[in-house]
Amino acid sequence: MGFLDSLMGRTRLPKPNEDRVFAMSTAVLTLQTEGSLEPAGRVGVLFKALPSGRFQQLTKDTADMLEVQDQTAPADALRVKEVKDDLGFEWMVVEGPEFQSLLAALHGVAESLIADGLGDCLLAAVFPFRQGEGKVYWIYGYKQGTFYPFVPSGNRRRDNGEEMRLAAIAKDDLPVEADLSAWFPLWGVPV
Amino acid sequence: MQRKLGADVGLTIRMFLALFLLAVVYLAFIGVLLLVHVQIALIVVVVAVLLIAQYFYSDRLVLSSLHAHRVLAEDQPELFDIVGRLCQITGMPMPAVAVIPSQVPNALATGRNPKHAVVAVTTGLLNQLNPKELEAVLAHELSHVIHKDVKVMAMASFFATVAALIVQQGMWFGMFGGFGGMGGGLGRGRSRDEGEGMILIILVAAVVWAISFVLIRTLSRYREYAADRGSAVITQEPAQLASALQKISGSMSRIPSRDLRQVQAANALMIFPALHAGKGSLAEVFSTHPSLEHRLARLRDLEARLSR
Repeated sequence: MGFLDSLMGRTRLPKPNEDRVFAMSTAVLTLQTEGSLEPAGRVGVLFKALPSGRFQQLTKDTADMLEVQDQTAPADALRVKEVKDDLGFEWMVVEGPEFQSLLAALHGVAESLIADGLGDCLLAAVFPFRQGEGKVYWIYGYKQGTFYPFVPSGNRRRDNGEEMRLAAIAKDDLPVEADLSAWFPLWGVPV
Repeated sequence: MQRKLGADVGLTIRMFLALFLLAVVYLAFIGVLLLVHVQIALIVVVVAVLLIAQYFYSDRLVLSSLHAHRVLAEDQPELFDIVGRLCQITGMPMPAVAVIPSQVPNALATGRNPKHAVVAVTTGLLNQLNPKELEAVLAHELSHVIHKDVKVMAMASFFATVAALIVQQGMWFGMFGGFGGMGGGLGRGRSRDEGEGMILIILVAAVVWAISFVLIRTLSRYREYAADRGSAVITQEPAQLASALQKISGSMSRIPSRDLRQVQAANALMIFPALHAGKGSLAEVFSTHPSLEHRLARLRDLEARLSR
């Protein structure tokens, strides 16, 4: 938002930063070895609900795209599903055994959204990890272009200490969001 | 999305025109002040101090006058979740969130910049709107923050306040001490020339005050349209804001008078004025908000453009 935009009262949404999500590609190794996190076999893209009808079409396109991917690598089957959460936001959840192909699929989903002119609606990519019994998340904010950890500890509370620890572990591999007030929680994430 | 909504060229032009005319009026005013050689410096300084104080403390003043209290995520989980997601979409920092204990459904945003922003909603709003409508209203308020409306309106009303103060003070001095008291300054004699200069100044100030009042109100209405539009850009669902505005305005007419007065203090900052003018076009010229009909018509246009 430039000076003129605010003077004239124009709202412009920041463009999504899609490329930096690939930092997770190498960071996942650090998280596995130093943070003892295991990828949970799923990733999700969170975006603002689109006018109905539009979203159905998009899911079909993305599913088609993923099916093509399926045929070329049948051993690495990917499934995609759509979920609508309590706040009326849409989730595109991709499931599969191999983390790197999940990341590629996630990229594909985000790309197809952007190609459809819906990049403004992109909020976040969510990477769930298993940590012993518990579950932790790394969240990528498309508008900020940064990652932050999210460790829910039940009853809408989060374990800030563990989040700080994870952020410290990943700081060399991931662009970690410096502004702690932008570490937005995602309660009841369906991923 | 942005592509589909496009830019509202008409609104931009009118906004520019309002700001331009305001600047012209103010420059003429300054010109007259300089020509007449009357020392208005004191008033300008006083108003500057007042406005700067208002600029830095208005959020706290407004909120305390409405008995708003800040809430935490634990108190209002859903409200926080919605604001959080809107911040993620707009890439802005999380504002403070406050709740006003009033059954009148309304919302306001204040604060000089996004980092010091406060978004407040009444309990009535939380009770009456569904999550989608609440989201649309909050997006409207966040648009005010994004557009830096507190800053723009403070700048726009600077010389209007100077003019108003000159008229009021001038009349006071005129009645009790003869003209020249203000112009005379420290220990200077009151000459006849200065007295006449003062009368001219007061007349000019009165004209500036009147014209800028209308222009500022006009600007205020444009900023409301702009924030409605911002809400549509953020949520992609202008129909939800339209629905919320209808609910808010519908319950406005049923509200008890005590609450009406309570909300009146911050009328200009509200999403919908508690005391709104009638339907006549003349009444709208003097009000801070466009009429419900006009706002709904614009939101319908936006909705149509998105659904096309």
